[in-house]
Amino acid sequence: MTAILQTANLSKSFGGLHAVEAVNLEVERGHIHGIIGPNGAGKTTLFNLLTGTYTPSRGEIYFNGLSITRLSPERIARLGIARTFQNIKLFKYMSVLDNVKIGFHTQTETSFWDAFFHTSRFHRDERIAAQKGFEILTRVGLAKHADDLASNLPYGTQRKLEIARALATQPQLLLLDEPAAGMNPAETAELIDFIRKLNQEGLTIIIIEHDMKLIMNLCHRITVIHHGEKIFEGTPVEVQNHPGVIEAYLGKGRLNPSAV
Amino acid sequence: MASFKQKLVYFLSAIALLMFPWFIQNDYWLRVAIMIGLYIILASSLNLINGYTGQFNIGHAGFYCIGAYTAAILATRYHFSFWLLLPLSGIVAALFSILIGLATLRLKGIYFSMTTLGFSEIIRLTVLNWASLTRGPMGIPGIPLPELFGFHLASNRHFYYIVLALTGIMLFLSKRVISSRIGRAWIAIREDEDAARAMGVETFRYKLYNLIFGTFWAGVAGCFYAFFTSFISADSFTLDEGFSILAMVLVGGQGNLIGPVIGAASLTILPEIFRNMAQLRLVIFGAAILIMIYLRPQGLAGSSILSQKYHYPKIQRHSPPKHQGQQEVSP
Amino acid sequence: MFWLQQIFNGITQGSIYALMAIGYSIILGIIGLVTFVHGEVIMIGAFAGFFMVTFLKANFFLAVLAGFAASWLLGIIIERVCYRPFRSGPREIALIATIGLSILLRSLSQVTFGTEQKLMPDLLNSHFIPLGQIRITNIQLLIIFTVFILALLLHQFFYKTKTGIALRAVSMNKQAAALLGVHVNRTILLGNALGCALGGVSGVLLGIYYNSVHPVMGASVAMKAFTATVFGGIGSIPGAALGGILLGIFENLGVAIFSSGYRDIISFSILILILLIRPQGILGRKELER
Repeated sequence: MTAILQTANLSKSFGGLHAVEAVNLEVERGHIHGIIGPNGAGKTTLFNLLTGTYTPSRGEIYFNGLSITRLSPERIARLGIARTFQNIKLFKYMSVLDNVKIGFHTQTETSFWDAFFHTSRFHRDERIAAQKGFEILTRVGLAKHADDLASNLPYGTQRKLEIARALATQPQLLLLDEPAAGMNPAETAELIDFIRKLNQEGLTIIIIEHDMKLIMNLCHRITVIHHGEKIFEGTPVEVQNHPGVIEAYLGKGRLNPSAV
Repeated sequence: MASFKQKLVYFLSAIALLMFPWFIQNDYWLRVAIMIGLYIILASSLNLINGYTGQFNIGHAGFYCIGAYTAAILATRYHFSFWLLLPLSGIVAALFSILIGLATLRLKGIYFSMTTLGFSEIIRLTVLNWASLTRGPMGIPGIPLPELFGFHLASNRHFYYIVLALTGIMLFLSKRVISSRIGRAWIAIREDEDAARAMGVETFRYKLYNLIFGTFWAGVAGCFYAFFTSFISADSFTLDEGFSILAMVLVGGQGNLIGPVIGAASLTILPEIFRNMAQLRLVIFGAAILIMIYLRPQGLAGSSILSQKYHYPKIQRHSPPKHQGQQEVSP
Repeated sequence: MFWLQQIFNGITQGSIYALMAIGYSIILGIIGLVTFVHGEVIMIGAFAGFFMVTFLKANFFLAVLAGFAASWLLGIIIERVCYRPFRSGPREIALIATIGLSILLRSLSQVTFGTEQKLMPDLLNSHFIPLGQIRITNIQLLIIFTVFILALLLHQFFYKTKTGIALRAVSMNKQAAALLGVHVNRTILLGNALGCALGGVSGVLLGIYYNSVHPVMGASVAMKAFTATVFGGIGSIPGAALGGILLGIFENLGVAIFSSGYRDIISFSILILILLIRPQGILGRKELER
């Protein structure tokens, strides 16, 4: 068993509404795992459960075999799960580089004392954050924007910065919530290449995305969620030929599966 | 790294501040200068909390009061030295902030705000009622003069240099913390707490650190005030005092170090210029806050960065269209 | 008997707190923001009642009405000055605006009304009504009665009238309410005015109960309103009422044990305890961690 992430019977309800219901998910180490489903299917809620933003009503989550079910988001981040947000949550009024520097929070340990007296540890931490931060920005092609305010970046670029910031935490598992939303086709193509490259370097990735081309192109496995429940899981080819999946989408009338 | 020009400006203003008492022969204006220094410490420490982590402390006067009473009681009864009491008063104030923080910092920001407001008032009432410790409404007179190497520091000139040094140390240390990993974590919390947590920032702990650091300086300021005036009573620590400090931060501009300095200086001088307006002091402060919010929400010294943040359309007729599927399930 | 007496006094006081907390909850729901000017709203209401009684020799009913009207008006001003211009901006701006207005109103009242406490004339010929072994004044009964009637009226208003239902709808979800044809701006204005007006009435009742009004009475009183709201559970109007009454009872029991100088300290300790033990309050829902 090489699952990096497993959920057992994972459920979350708000009041009487079952946002996520008894989901059993298993993500293989080294895979790109897609999560698709109509709007309101509970995909983002699932991410919020995996990252500790919400506490599950029932069920368990295992990361590398250890239960992370009731851990706080910051603990989970420290264990090696990073994420981006569907409705971009950058630190808007910080510079692009500072945004990425926050990602090194868990890898540095400057204390008040270090900051007051600029000890060697302070200098080491600042060097780590600046150098590695700059490296990551270079990788995503944002180095020239390092000193700009995050909020001044165009929408698609902000999504890239979110990924860069998540990478700075040195995760083993990266959760991407609609990374291609708001990107033009050229940017999306670039994004696909980038995600694939990250994956080839050993990073396990879970993607929520409505762009079927991206999903079918990248994913090793895909989980389909509808009304909070997992209705199917399989390879891209299996998903495309599964009648239930088509129905779920057609029922909502949002996507034309023949276009996939 | 500061450029040469910047360094020159710092150097010249430092010289000017050091020479100031020798140019000003008038003791009255020297006192005003000392009060400005005191309010700079108070406003800047409040700004650390409100401006950098986006918590909304409105009861800063409570921590200031604790610092002042700690110093006054220990100095008059147990003859503690001023120099020991400076940090000690800060620590006692910070201990109280831990209590407040533990109760409220895990909850929505508003619980913190209201609790600090209540706390400030409660501290004042406790001081008034616990007469065996605080002499109640009579206040504590006869706080001895600070000593340095056997000399009594009695003149306003001495106090001017003390407050100048304290302000300098406070601003220097604040700057260093803010431009470190700790300060970045604070600002990240202000900008987006969820995202900060997703980056592994222990938001509760860092908010608590921030509160401790900020209230420590309020306690230090209280200690200075007690020795400076040699008499304190609960009247100096009303909610209005807290609101005045808040007004200085808001008018000067929060989220940067220079804003509260400007705010404290201008709002301390303003009522002094119009001497007969002393009773209108708070009317002016209240009006100043409202005017600032309409005209320059980022404050006098607020950067254009923040003006962008606070830019809002004057009249809004329709709510903006929500990004499709922005929230899959709202609890 | 002593304790029974304290509990009864607590209920009287608590019913005033309940009224404040109900008003506070309505504002909290409709604006979606805490207000810092509520103490001054209560104070202005109390002064309106006070002037009605001292200058116009008005009766109890007119005094209450004056408090209601004055604070209603103030509520409209507050909405125009503090909330409407900033509805689309960052939330803290509106919050700061309420603080600015609160400082302004309080200091202006101190300048115009004077800083000393004003004695409220005894307009009801206060006397004890013997009831078993506890002593009840006619004023206490009238206060409880007034609050009770107001609560009943409010309930009818919220569940039976179109405007009341619109108010509840806007509190729950502004966008959905707008889609259903509710005039959101007007409803927010109305809700804020109503919440303030209730604060005004409770100000008058406080003035009558304590025989005094004071320009700086607002701060500690607003704290009570907030504590009662948190006690009952934010977002629940019945909770606010219950929280108010319980707060009144606990506070009076505490005063009986310690001393009356500690009244506000006791209620503040109650707030801290609630926040530590059960931050969602008695009837509140749990999702309030940020």
